[in-house]
Amino acid sequence: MVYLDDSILQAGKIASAGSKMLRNFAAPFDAEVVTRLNEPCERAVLGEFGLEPPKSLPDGVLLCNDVFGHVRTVVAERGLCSLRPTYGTVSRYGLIPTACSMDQIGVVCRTPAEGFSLLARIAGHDEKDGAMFPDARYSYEKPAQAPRLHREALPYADLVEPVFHILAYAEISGNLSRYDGVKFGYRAENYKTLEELYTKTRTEAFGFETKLAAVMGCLALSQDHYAALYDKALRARRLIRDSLRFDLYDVLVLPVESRLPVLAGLPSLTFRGVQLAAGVKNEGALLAAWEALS
Amino acid sequence: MKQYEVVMGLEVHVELATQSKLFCSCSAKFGAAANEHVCPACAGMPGMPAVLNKRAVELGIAAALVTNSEITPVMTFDKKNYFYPDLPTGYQITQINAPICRNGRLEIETGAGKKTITLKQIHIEEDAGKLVHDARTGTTLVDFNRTSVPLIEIVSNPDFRTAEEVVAYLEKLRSLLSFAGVSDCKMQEGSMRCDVNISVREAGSGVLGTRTEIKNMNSLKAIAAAIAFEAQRHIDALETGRETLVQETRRWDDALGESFSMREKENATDYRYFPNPEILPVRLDGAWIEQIRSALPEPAREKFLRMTGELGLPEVDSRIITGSKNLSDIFDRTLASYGNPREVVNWIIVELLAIAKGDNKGEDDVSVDCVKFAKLIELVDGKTINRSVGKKILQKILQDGVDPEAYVAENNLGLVSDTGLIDRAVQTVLSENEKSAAEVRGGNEKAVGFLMGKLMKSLGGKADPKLVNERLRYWLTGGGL
Ligand SMILES: [Zn+2]
Repeated sequence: MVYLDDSILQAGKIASAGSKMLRNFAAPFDAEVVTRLNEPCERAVLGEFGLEPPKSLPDGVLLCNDVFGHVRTVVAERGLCSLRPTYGTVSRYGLIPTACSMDQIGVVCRTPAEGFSLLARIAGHDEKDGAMFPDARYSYEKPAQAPRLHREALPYADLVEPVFHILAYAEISGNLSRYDGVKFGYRAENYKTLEELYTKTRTEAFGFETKLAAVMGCLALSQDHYAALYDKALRARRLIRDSLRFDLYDVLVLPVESRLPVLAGLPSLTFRGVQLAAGVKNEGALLAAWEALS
Repeated sequence: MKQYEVVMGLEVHVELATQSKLFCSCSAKFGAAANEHVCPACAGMPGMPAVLNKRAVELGIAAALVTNSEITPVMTFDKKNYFYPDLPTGYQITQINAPICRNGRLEIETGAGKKTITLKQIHIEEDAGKLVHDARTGTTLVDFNRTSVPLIEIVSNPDFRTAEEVVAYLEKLRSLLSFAGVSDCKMQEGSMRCDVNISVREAGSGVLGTRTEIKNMNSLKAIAAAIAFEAQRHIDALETGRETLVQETRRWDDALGESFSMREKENATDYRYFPNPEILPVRLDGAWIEQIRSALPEPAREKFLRMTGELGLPEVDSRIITGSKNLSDIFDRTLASYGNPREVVNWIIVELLAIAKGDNKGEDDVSVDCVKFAKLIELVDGKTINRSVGKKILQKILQDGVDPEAYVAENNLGLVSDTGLIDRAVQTVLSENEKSAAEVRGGNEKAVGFLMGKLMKSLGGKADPKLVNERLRYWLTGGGL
């Protein structure tokens, strides 16, 4: 059974993206991945707009857009596999957008083979998505020989996490603007002015992480902070992308998570060094538009 | 008494003549019922990525070419963020960092001579929807038909000094853009809109005065009136000090003939512009541009020269035809079916426009099936029917779309050129109107008209008037006796 993240549209079914804002939003059409899968799918409600950790993961293969990495963390704790394809290889037609330059439907699965075979069915050019690479095919083969290992220094490791958050928050703040109570989705009940309709609707229907993202994103794009935050982050992103030398190596192996799984009776632990590397693993792939497997 | 100089810059919005909207496949046609041309994308629902309309980019390139602008090698799109109910996504997709072109030039001509107006840039953007206030119920409704309809905004430098220059520039833009097929440029329907930035300074001063922006003018007349009013308001403020000028946006009220402050916190709004990550940069390569350049239709000026030169048509008529892209198209298409330019022009200007005027339509709104129109002109020209029958058939073509040849045959309207028939009619009329006949013979030419009228009527209006006149004179001068 294939499960769909609640931000992937299926005609006539509620697609809430885990948000109270969209709990009455019935999708008007099928997402391209749904059409390509062409089999009955179940829905899985994850964290609101991917900004919160999911309360649980379904028992089966899951298609989701894990920009903020919360799904990947749970996947790592469970010993599952998460496969994020290269940016622009799976159609986002019918995906509720978060951060457009990083949005990409990926797969949570038990084995890489299972994930790749699913990707092979959904990847490939779609003219309904305006930002795609025309030719992308996926297949999975075991390498014939054992890999040779090298140590690599990553020069901008400490930039990855802040750059990711500035860009992702800025982009998602723009995409959250459409939820204003005017056309569809949640609308606050008691309002007297347009301003009040907007404010009450968004205050009542967005969760904490979503509000934080909207506010932080607006801040990064505001006249006063644009140069220091957004513009600088855009340039740093280029540096990070160019620093990843996939001409020298084929695969970059990094830890997925900086915290140990929470065990009964023990506090969770964080190691700074590991955290940075984890950031490169999750968000570095997003910033550079590379694929990632965990 | 101090001398003042008025300094103006223009922002002209022109709707591109595409079939569909800028980022979805909805129709961009004007005049549909509210919310008829709406899909999940242009209603702001999540899940439909923006896919750029290639035709809009081509029309933008055409606009760049006819305004002698420098085309940007790689153009990009940005998001302008603000909340308003007519903007369903909460952002407008526009071009800030790399617009389609910059540094254009246009030559205008006024009573004061020729002048070059320079353009800062042209950028592509999407239109917003329309709010409809229902005073009866006190509610506001929103119509998304116009959301995401492609526009170009043509931003000039502050090169204008008189309202005459502004009007000449707008007429030039309208002619260039409509003939290039970029837009139909109808101010009344809002497919061409103009905002004027205006400031006043003492003559000779190098410093610009406080600037105001006037919006909401939907005719050249209104623009000229608004400029006159606003310039005088600025001068009065500078002279008397009774009013302090502030940088603001003002709305023109054409009925009252005054501008009013829109009291918007315009300058306090932070639009949080940023590069739109949804739309990939667009490369405008030389081969593509050349392809568009070579496909550009003939501009009005060249067409005028061809009409007055090669086709030998009068300047007055050629100016009327090339003053409107629509008339010019009707001329071309009709001429393609019947190659007599003089008669085609004549029929368009004298007959077609007269009927259009009666229906309250202008040069830009009149429409006719050009193949049928050409056939009709040919029928009259070849003396198959006479001109007054031709006029009636033109009405029928416009109203019911009749085929002129079939209509003539079915209703037996062919020209009566049977001399025997005409002669019998002349004899009958002369014998019934002996008094008038005697008057004509006595030298009263006026009575000829009366007799002609009687004759044409008795022949069912279908005879060739020249032939009838000939036969009448023959019988009056005693030819038959
Ligand atoms: Zn649409």
